[in-house]
Amino acid sequence: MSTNQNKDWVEKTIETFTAKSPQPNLTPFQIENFIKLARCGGIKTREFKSAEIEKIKKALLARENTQTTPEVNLE
Amino acid sequence: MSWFRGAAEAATLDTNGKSLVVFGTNGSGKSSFVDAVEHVINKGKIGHLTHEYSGRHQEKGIINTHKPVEDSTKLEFVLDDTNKLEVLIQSNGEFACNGTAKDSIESWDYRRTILRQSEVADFINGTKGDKYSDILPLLGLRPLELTAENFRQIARTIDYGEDKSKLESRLEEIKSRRVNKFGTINDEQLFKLLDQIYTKYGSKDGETNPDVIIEKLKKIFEKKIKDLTTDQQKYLPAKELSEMDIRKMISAVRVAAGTLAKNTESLIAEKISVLQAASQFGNKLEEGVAINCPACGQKVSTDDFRKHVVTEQARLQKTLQDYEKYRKTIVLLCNGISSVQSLIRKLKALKIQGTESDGTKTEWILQYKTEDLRSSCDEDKLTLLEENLLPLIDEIAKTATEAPDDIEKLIEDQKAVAVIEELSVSKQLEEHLNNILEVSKLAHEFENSARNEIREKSSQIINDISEDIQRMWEVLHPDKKIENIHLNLPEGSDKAIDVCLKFYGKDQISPRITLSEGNRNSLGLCIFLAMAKRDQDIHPLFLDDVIISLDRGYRGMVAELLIREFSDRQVLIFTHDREWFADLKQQLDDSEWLFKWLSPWIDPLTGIRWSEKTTGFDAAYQQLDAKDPDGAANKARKIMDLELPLIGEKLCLRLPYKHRERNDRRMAHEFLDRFITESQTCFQVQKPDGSYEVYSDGIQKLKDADGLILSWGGRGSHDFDVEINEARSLIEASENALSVFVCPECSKSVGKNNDESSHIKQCQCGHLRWRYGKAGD
Repeated sequence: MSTNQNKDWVEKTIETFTAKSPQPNLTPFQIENFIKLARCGGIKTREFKSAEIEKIKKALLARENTQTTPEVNLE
Repeated sequence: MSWFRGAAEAATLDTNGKSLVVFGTNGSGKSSFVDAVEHVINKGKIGHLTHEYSGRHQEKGIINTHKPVEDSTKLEFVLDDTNKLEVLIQSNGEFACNGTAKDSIESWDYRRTILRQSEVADFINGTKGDKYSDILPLLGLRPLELTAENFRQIARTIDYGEDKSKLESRLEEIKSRRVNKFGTINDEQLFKLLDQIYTKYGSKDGETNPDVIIEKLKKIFEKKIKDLTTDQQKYLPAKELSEMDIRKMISAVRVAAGTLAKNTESLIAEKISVLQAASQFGNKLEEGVAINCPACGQKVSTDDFRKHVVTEQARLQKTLQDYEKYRKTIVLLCNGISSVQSLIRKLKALKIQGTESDGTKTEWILQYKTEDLRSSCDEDKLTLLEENLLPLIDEIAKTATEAPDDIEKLIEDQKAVAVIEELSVSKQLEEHLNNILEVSKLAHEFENSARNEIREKSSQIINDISEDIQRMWEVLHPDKKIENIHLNLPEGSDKAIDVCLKFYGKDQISPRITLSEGNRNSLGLCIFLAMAKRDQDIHPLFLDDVIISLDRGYRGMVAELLIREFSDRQVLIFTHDREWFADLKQQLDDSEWLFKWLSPWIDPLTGIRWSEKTTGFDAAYQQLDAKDPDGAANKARKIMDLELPLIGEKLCLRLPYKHRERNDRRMAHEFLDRFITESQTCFQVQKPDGSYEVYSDGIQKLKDADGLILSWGGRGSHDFDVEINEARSLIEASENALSVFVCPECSKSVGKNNDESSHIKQCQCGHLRWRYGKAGD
């Protein structure tokens, strides 16, 4: 299997996304938050509650790291 | 088990670390052991007790009805590694689990651990979605499935969230103001206009930055307005108010409400729930089957039905959009009223009154609460607004028309600059909105990507499971008429699995189309075993009366299947089929398998009891105790009819051929007679010096039994009277006759070891042997 085929699906997803939108209207901070979220343990073990979804939504919509931005931490 | 289901004070199932076959007549308590395991796995719930009569915590079914008050209902599991689990069940069914084996046993997946008679065909009969859910844990893709679902929810929350909808509303308002003021002219033309206004107000500093120009112009306007007399200043709010088209806003609410007139909110909600139910119903239907439409009663194909549901959902979506538009018109009207209130306050501050004599309308509008309108906007409220607000605005508008030209021009320019100023705001809002849309797009991308990953990975694992199913099926059904059984991921569906096969060379998309009930159950057993085999969590398998609808030939192959595929697993088989139990006893290696016999269940206080025997003579003695000598004699003879052919087969006993089924209807006497004859040359016992001699004691026991069976054995079944003593002698003789094939030294039966070159079958230690090669010598 080539290295490319072996790539983690999270990385693959970002690559596909940027291939579709070469200049995405997302900040590096937002993309980093997506990667953190996709790889965190919490997202894989149970369905999120609506309050958690709301918190994550806020974190993903924040375009840069500010003190008021909730952390995406669902380990 | 203590006082659990059929168990009284204590019922223990000791496997000694081996696999196990338990025989018990109906109601003897076999399933109570399986129930105990299910109780732990399913956190206190037992599937067949899930009904309205069993109590909130199934206490009415779980606890022995005659449990003494001072005793407790308890379960205790001990694993090979000595880890334990204790379950204490209270009278109300609530329970507590403790012990080092808790996590281990609780983690067993019910659908891979226990298969009951009533569940054998469940997988096949389930929907595609059910099948997918069943398989999912095996694929190890549950984490990805959860990830996909969580991203779906995140994307949904963004798509329908307030952030997006507020931005869209604001952008729409700005756009509307621009169109009202300037029509369709582009940004470049607007900036030219800005330059012209800047020049007009005497600024010739060569400034080109629109933001700076706007700021400077705002200061110029501010100064000019400040320089106006109080009387002149009244024209500003008056002009602004006169240009607010409240009439149009009210009218827009009416139009939007009219569009929704046929679709009230409750109807929409009801329709959504009906469509959701219809959609689920549609998904559960088999492909290509015609059904009666629940709405019109006409026959439609399932495909058409599903399309119909999708169309209805789209139509409803349109209605929801209309509803959203209606809400927006109300928001616009409320914002308009707030602006009016603010302008009237300004006019009041300038002490400018309308011609209104008592000022009641002015006070009414200043006191008006727009929140009331937002929560509900009916025709009465709109009419009231029209009656109070519109005359006031018309009156103020008259004042605005009297404004001198230079003031009017100043107001126009100020307004034009305000709208142009919104261009940059609008750009920021657009950028923000695009960012939200992009975040939603990436969340969707993650969901889709996770689903693709699931599809790719599951495809390989499903192929492996399919191979296992096919291989197991071939063991049970070597005739090849039903082949290529495999699980299939249907195209265009993310959460579905089909079971496909080839029936006499023709492809079938479901076993439910062509397979008989027996074959479906047989396939269900193969699927369960294939999935259990793939389970990474190694645990025992419990098969509770699962072969009931299988033909005898296929039942025999189940043992073969277990030997081939599950030699490394502990399997606990519970059956009420005496014949199969006897078959398994002969087929399965007793160094790895235990065989246990449950005594018939008598009452709740006696509970579940093990029989000392493994041939069922206990039941015969029990009938003697119940003063039924006929039944007891008959039972003993039946046991002999069943056991002797199996021993005969194992020892290659030679019997004359009989035509067709008469071969299978031989009675105990025929076998005993032949055993007695062949024993003279075949059956030997080892002497102390190591040489062998004819096993005379054993032959005598066979003769004793044969004599009694000939005399009394038939009577019981033909309504002759058998005395109690006669029946007791018959049972004892029969028991003794069967015991001659078990070595008194090593306790293993003759036939345990096989020396094919010398044509000898013997016990494990070689003390007893049967020289089948010498038969007839």
